[in-house]
Amino acid sequence: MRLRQKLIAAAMPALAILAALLIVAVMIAGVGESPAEAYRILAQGAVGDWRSLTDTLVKTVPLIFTGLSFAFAAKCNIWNIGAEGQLYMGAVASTAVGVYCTGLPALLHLPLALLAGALAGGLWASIPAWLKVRFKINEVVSTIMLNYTAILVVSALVYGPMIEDPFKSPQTCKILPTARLPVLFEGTKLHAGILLALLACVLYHLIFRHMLFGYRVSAVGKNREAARFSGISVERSICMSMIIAGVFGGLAGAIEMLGTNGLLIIGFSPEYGSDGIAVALLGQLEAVGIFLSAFLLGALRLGATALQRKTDIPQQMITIMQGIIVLFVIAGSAIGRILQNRAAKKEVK
Amino acid sequence: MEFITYILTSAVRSAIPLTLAGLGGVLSERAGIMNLALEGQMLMGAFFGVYFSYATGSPWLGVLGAMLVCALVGLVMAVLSIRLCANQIVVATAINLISVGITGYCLKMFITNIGNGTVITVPSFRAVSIPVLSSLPFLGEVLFSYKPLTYVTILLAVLIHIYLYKTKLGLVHRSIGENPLVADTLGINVNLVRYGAVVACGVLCGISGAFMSLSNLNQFQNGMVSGRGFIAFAAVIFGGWSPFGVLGASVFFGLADAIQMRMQAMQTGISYHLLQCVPYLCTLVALVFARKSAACPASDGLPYRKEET
Amino acid sequence: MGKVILEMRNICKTFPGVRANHNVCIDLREGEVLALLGENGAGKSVLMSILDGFYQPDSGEIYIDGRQVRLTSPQAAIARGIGMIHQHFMLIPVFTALENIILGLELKGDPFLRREAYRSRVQEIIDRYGLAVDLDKRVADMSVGEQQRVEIVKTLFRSASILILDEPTAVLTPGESRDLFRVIKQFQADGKSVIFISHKMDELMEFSDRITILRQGEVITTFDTAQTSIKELASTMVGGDVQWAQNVHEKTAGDIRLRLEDVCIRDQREVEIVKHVSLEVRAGEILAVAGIDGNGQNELAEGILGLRHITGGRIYADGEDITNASVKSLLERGFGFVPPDRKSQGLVLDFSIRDNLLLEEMDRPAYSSRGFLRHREILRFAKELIGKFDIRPANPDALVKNCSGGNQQKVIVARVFSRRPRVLVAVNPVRGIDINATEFIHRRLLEQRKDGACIIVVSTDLDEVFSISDRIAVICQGELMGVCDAAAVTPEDIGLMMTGVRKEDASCG
Repeated sequence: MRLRQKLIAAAMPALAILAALLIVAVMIAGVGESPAEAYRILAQGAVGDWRSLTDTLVKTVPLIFTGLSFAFAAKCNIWNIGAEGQLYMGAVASTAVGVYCTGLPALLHLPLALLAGALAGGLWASIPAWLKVRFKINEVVSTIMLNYTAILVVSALVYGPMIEDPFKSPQTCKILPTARLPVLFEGTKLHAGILLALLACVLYHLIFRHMLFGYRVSAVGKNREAARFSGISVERSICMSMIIAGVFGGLAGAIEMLGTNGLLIIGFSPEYGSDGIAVALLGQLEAVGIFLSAFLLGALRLGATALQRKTDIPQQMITIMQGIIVLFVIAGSAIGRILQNRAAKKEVK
Repeated sequence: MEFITYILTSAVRSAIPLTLAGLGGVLSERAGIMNLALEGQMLMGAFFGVYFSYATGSPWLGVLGAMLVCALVGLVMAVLSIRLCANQIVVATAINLISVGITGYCLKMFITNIGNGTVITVPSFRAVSIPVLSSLPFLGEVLFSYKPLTYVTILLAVLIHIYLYKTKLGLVHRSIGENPLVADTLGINVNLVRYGAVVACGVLCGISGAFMSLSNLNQFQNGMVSGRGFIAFAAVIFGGWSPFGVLGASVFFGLADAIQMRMQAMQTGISYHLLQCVPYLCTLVALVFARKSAACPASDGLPYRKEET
Repeated sequence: MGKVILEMRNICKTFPGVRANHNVCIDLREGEVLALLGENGAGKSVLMSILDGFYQPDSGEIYIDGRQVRLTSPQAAIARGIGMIHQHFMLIPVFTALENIILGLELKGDPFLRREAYRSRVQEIIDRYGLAVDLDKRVADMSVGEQQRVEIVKTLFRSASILILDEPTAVLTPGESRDLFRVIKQFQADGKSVIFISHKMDELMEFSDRITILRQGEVITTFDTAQTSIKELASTMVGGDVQWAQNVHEKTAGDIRLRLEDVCIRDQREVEIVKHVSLEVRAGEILAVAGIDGNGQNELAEGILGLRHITGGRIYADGEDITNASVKSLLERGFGFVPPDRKSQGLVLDFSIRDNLLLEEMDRPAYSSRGFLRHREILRFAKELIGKFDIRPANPDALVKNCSGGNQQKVIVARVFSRRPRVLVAVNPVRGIDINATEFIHRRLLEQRKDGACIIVVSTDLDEVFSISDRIAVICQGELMGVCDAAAVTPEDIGLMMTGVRKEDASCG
């Protein structure tokens, strides 16, 4: 019985993906393209050869971090929609360290830049955490307001003091080589950020499976009152998980700068923040699930650009697909819960 | 004087979409469904308003189309959060995500297939001019110079106020937001009212979005709602979950927006990016000052399960 | 006796994890008061919710005036003249009494809410039965008794001829209860029938016509009230096979361990809900805090445990000041707490039994070191407690939300008692659980006392109070009415004190 339930739980995201693929296939057929051909191009563009596979992995890195960011807060039953803002803050802080701290050895410069990004993300996330704990302000609203604010503040910086050349397009100077994440394989873009992402997944798993802190956070997430009655500080758990979520978000931005981009350009993030929500929900807030769904959504994103190049299908198709997947995952787990209750009722009879 | 007129009229223009979506939020939350999908539904309304206006040649039919599409989106929200009792925040987030996808995709198709790659203008609203009143000095411009949907919005606020506080159904509606179990024991179909409220919220968001694209901008741009759905959500809280409260809160946020825009034009030397932060920061500050507990429907955000079926 | 106007035949109803009703048959005659008697969890409330149309039975039939009916909703029930006064009032606190009474009426006709059009008709009912209700007062500002009267008016206004009252006296003072009985007599005089749910046998003996007894979801028997006795009712209700925990008043009390000095607590609205309470509790002693629900006893318990801010006075444990200490530090000091609401306060329903058992133990070096959980030790610990406290299912990984109420309570009790708390505060530790689990938990409480724990049991149930306590403190409207020796006081005296009579004025020693 329990094994069956576990299987159902694992099969659900797969079913959601399948259903979304089917619906999108119908949409593709609707605009007069062949779905089979489109999916072939998509797969080819995403994982068809060594280069596209490594490119997909590069795309996966920020998605893992923003996914972990949403998931960590969600474990505490708070909803961090603010990964996008935290990512921008992390990006600008790490870029600043990467550009302006000169004369440091790589062994010091790179960790310092990463640290700056993590701290900036964490600090930015501490604002909604404080607003939530102190004034009971809905964190969804506050994180979104802070997303817009972060993007505008970063824009002000990049257009203003951090601009490389006021007469050229708005971007910062290049990050010094000592602060760059090393490329893993010659001739590809895949950098050491993927290792950091894997490490973050392992850490997340450890925290929630084996550590007291994760147990506390889950208890607060599942029943705040009971946690309080057991002597757990609810406020502290909320603040800590929001700040850690912010650290993950900040690292997403930092690694994107230090690994992939090499400098900060306005609009560098194709909504990694909201993609992270899809990643976390599809991955059922579990480390392995988050890794797999980040890879899947990264592959879809990359494949979609190939699709747009070779057919008339706009790459926004993938955003729709992502949304459908998330809706089906939500509907699926709700239906699963209802079915479980029915089963429990039958058992009594 | 000209400055004040400018600020006031542009504040009203910014406030109207917030009010419309906020009124939807009031209906939804008064029935106990915390609706954070205002943003996504506004975005859908903005696009489909333009689309149907182009297709039919009439901005009014454009608004109608936007209302219908958003009613559908509202229905999806309703089924997931009411029938399936899924977490309302997660459902709303998913709807916001999918709205970005659908509007982005459709815009791309619209531009490539119809506009041949260029931005196209669509039939949109013109300001109504009321004889005599519109030509009054100052008042004429501040009160009587708007496009028709502005007046429709004020009317809707009044109607929703009457509905909530002066009708039997309104009393039932509010009771469901407070304690759905009570309404259920009185034989009221709780979920039917909730469905109605969430779908009506979608319709109002549709008008709101269509107002932004057909009345303020005369075109659709990706991401053009840019957080106004969430500001409207905040306006519901700041306005104490009442229609006139939302109207007032929206005008307040509209004023902040208008002043900010005016300062951009005045070349004060402050980065215009930073000025653009003002509405978002104002929202946070307003929420700090809103006394949340006072009027918040007691069952807001909680799914209602009579028994697990 | 009048003719049979209502019959329920072979009603069955199950919920996830619970069999609430099984082949239940009852009948009701015109103008009679039928009492439904049974322990908590015997299935009385569910049966009546089925009659009220709120729940649908899994099987079984309902007949009104000999014709089979299907009561698909409370509205269908009220259309047949059946109205229910729930245990938890079905009122909207922010609405006025009048708004609550007319809520949901005549939705099909005139859409506008004309409060005044209803007022005279509502007032007529109020006057007829002498129910004191201020129609323009918000329910939130009313006393519990007045709220109940609003409920009754609401039901009568919907022209109910069969009234169901679910434990109406549980929240009332004896004076208010007597007023209620008077109103019920008036209903009878008007030819209305009443079904009255209770587990207080004396009041049923006083004014019911017949008594139907339920146990574990089944009807045991029906007595004519005139031909039965409290003793017979009690043994039938409980079933012969249950062993009551025997409270031998051994003199085990030692030094004073917990001392409350002039403790005051204000709630969020700044209303003082605990007023100048001073108490001393010794090691090896059970002090019961008796009182009618909602008189500040739960808040007092939470205050002792650091869960509520003490706004005045001091609390000492072993002579040390622990006023407003953190919950965590108190747990470390050996405090234990069985909270009033197990589902929202005591358990994380989505956690497994094991994780729930761990909640207060997690900081112990045995179960976590350097921030890491020691899974093997935790599992051993969970299995041990499951065995010792007979928790079912015996699977440590089973989710607590799938356990029955009694087993959920056992999880809490196991967690708290296994720590051998030096100071134990238990609020209604057996509310809503079956008789065997009740007996089990009471026995454990007495064991804890023997081990020298200092125990406070907050209870609204006088049977419980008398069966386990050494001394009884009575609280009314946040004030301590007095503390009595359990062996030297009668339930009547305690009942009197619960209504606000001070110990000095009651006749007890």
